[in-house]
Amino acid sequence: MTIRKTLVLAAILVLALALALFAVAGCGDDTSSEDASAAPSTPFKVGLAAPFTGDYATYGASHKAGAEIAMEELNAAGGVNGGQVSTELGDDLGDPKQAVLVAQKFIDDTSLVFVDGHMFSGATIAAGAKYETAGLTMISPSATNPDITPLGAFIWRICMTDAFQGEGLAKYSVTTLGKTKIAIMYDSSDYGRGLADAFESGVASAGGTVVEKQQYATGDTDFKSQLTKIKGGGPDLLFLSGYYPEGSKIAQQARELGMDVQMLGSDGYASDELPKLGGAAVEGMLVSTFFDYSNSDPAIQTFVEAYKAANDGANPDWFAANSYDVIMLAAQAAKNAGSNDRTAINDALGSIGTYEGISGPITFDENGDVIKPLTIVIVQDGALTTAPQQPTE
Amino acid sequence: MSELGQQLVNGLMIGCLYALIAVGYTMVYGIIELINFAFGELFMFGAFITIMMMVPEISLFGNTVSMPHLNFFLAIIIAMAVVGIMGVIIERLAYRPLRNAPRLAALISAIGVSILLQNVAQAIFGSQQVPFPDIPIFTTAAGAPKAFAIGGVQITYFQVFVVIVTVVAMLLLNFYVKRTRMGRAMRASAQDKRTSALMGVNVNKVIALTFLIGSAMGALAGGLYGGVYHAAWPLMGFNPGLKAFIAAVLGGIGNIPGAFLGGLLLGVIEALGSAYLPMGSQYRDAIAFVILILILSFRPSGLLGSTVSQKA
Repeated sequence: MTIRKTLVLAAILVLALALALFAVAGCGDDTSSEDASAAPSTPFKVGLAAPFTGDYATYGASHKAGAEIAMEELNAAGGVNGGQVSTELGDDLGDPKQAVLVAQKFIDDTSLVFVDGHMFSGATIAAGAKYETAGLTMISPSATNPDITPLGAFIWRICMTDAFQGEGLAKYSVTTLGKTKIAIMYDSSDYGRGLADAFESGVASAGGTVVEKQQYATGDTDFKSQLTKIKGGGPDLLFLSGYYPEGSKIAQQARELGMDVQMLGSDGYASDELPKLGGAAVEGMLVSTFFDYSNSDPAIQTFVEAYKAANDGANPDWFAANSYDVIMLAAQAAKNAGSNDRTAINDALGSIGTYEGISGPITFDENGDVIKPLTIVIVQDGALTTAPQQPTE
Repeated sequence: MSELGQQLVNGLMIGCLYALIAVGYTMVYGIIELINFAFGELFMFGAFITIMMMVPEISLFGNTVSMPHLNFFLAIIIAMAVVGIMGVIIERLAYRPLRNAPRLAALISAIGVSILLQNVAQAIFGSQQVPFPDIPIFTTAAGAPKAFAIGGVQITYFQVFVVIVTVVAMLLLNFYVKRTRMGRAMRASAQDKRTSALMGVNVNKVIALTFLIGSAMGALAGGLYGGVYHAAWPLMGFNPGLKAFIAAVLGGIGNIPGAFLGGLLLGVIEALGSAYLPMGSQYRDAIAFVILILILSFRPSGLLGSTVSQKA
């Protein structure tokens, strides 16, 4: 009886640990807000809202590093409307509850003109409602959930939605690359699934066929069951919707199964860690990104050099680039308005037309969503470089 | 047909790795009736130490440090030795003082050790994944895995190597426990520690040896797992550790051939389940826990375990 008791006890512990693990697998969300409520020659104080500590701290670190490059560049040029640029950090941990507290802090600080941030969609939605009510502009660099911009006129973002990216990538695969038999492997998170669904419907409307669609959970390490099924479908392109830690293993295991298929990764794959972890197996993989640091455009290279100098030679990721763009965009709006006033900046954003950011030309639609071209990079010799074939619009 | 064959190969591969960790659980449980939850972490250290020995330099505590750049086989043997000794130290510090305490105290101590080791690994190696170097004799010049195909089923040389290592390790261990003097002392201590001690068996030495062997097996599994999945990371031991525990229970905890059989079965059931059950790939881990619940409800002694008489 004792053996059985111990085993049952141990089993309960094992199950409890497993549950705890799954509970931790939450999701983060990022938003940014902008507030303009200062007169000319008043300071241009920016609220940076992101997870700066906790599990998602690496995202916040990129966000802050990109913002600092923008701040230094603006101050070197004499500030915005004569006002010194400064930043105030609001740590939302990627958590919606914390994000609301950060929003209140920023709203109450009347010297703050706008918010660059909230990175994750959940946090952005929670905080966005507060910013809208208070009339403080927020511009999210990275929250992709469709429910964000309908929150109101003060809520903006400069990253494309998952639906927009999914359709664009489907069109690119079928029309530009000429691949018609397509397989999809996706992370079962909201992000991975939403993007995969948009891609799937995009493939059908572009005239291609989805031969296999398989899913996995974030944190999985073995994908051979799914890949074996995909191999049976004989695709000529495999679309991967998820993040690079799983993606590098998917590419390696595909090769071990003798698959030789063109792979296309979503923006979650756009990291220097991908070639580092995936090695030879990810060579030739195409990756969708919101920022291509290998682009020879002088504005981009100036940013990349400044970023590398400030960050031990690390290349900026798209979170850093978008955070930089958010601040430069808001500064441009303030200059157009001739005022560092919260409302004036928000009004000027609505009439900014097309802003040439380092993450691409930014044009807002009537909701405050961005219309932006897709950028595709390819893994070559262990680095991400501009792919020879780009989507045509 | 070739797809089913491939899925079986996929499953056997994972099963071998589960089996190697399960042996550690099963040997320790057999002797002191403790589920050593830290095995998952010893497995993780096995993978990290193997990588450390194989690369020319690595980042430790954020500083780049020169490393010996050894070949894979030597590296994994060093990892087994280091982790084996870690296992002995853990037993001495965390479990031996609690040997006569209520069993729950030792179990909680084991969970504590597990969390401690995870955090130590994060401090040393960082929380990012660390890539596992290619092993030259299993990799082509172009960096692709060397492989062959039988009837459409793709098998890599490294997979064959993992299976051979697992089978040889199991046979050696079984021989050691069944046929040698020290093995007999182990089995005697498992049956009755006090009487064994009266017969002149040094029980502390036997238990330390059990931890040494079990932990070394975990390190071997970790090194191989790192090679199979091309990476190591501080939390990598958690999931395989749970699975190996289930494999050990499935085969009959305390029974070495049972751990082997349990590991292989679990690997194959998981692979086939995630391939052929509706939505199976999403519930891959749940399949293993369902097996655990079923086996505890209907055959708590496991497939190969005998219904053991109660210990005093």
